[in-house]
Amino acid sequence: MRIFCVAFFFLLIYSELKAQQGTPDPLTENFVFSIQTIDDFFDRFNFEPSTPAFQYYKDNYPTLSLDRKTIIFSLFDLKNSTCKNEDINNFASDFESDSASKLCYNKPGWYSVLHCKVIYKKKRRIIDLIMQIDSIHMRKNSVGYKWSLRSVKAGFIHGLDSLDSNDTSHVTAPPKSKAFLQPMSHAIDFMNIDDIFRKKMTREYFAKQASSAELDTLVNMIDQGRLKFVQVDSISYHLLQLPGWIVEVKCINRQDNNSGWLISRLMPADENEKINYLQRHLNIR
Amino acid sequence: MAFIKRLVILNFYIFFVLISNRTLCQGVYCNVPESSVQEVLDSRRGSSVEYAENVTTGVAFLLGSECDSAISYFDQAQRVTQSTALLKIISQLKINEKKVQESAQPISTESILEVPTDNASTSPVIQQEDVAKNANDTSFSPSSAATELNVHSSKSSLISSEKEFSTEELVAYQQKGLLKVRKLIDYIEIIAQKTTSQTSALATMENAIGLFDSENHSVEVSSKYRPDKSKFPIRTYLNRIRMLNYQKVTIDAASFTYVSNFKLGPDGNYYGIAKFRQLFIGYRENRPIYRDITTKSIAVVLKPYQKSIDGQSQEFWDVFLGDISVINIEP
Repeated sequence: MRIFCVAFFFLLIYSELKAQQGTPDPLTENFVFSIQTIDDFFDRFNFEPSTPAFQYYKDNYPTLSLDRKTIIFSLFDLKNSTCKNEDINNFASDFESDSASKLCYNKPGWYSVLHCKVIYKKKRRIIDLIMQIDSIHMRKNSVGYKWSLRSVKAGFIHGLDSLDSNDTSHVTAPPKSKAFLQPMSHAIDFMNIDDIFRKKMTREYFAKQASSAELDTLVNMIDQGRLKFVQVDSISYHLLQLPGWIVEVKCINRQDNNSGWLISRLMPADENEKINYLQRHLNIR
Repeated sequence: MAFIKRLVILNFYIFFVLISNRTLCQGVYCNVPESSVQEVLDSRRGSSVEYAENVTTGVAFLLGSECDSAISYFDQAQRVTQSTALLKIISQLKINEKKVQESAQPISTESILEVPTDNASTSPVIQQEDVAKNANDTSFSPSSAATELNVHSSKSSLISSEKEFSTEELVAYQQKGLLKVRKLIDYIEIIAQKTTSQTSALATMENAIGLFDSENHSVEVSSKYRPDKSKFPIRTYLNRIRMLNYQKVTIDAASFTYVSNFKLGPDGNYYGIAKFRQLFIGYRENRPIYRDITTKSIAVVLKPYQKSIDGQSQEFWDVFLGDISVINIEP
């Protein structure tokens, strides 16, 4: 069913394209279909008409008509077998109507996990930084947003908790500078995340609720120059906003229409299962 | 003949870099003579891609007077292939480094305290008391998933200026951002052409840098031979583009560019991105020798700037380019 729907979606557009323009421009074609950012994923899921891709379809294939369910099917990674067909069908049915729940950038309940490479004790190690959107009340009642560090996961940090958690010298220190990760950092794959790894700066990037022995240990390691950032290897998003579901989104880079930020994992989940997921997978308590 | 032509072009380039204040103020290529720079650039002929890339990047840093970074790249090139030119330039750089260390004097506390008090107002150290106080206000609870984020109160000392825009105005700025992205792609193509005169290349480089809100932004670089990403400051990146080992390059962009909506940052500026896909082909002797398709994301910031009109400083808003990341690279 899923494959049929997505294939049908791509076939529709492809046949429109062939009919109107002859041979499609290979540089543009896959790129338009590809889901560009997590915002683009949200917009497509919400069936938001101003989404650049939908605008492009509208301008280039005026006779094409799409519905939300078909678009939701197109958000799945077709070549990924971990999502059950039954779950996918139920998920698409749950959100097919225009009045169904929508995903929202500025609401809580979604996180970004940055799988980073660092150097610790002269060895390359992997560390997961769990990020969330924080809001700042501005003058004139407008609200500004930034990415903040919510928690951290790494085997070698957990192992040192007892050793380093005695040092709480920074725990109560309030942020003192205007350092922040701009609200669209996700769209440049957090290439600015190395800012967090500057000595005496890490706490400036903490989310409001961020507090854990692991985070304190991370700060100590960075401040003492024992941990050096290398690069972000990959990014995943964990969406817990939708009632009854947990969705994991990853970037699938391939020369294919079904590419970009796609659903790699889908789990039916009630409120308690979501709380467990936060604790087990994202180290958020 | 081609070699002489390249030599003449490079000498012109070096001349123009030399006359720029930036280089004069910080010493000539970290005390490395121009002849050594030329020798090391020539050593790329017939070398491996990794060697050539490290040498090119090292020279780009050298021209920007970033001596430590230059040494690091030359060291990496040396690990790939040892060449006389490279050994020579490394030893010259290390002599310079030693001289700098010897001449460095400890700074007295008094000299630090002599900073004019006016600077205090522009110091980046700004108290943001409320950030720590509101530690428990936005915890995600699955049962409250549909509620708005609890807004964190701040004295807004981060904010340089604040202005609200209508949706139409923001869309217009998005389009302006897109135009600047396209301009940048055009500028890069001009800079990379060996047929572009040095005068034009340098002027174009300045125009390209003018599209950004500061030179501190970085550009990620990768190639299909080297999937690990490196990050360079804009000026270094453009210098590197200028020195690519191709006679001609073509850059074709896809007709679709993804432009995101702007989001307000805590500093009062608006942040967005433009994402585009481009086909890069490098030619030597009229034959394509390198080809890749990259998808890049450019941060775009809408922020205020001051302009003096009739002697009075007025605030205007404009879009500028920011960090550039390589999202994907295809052969």
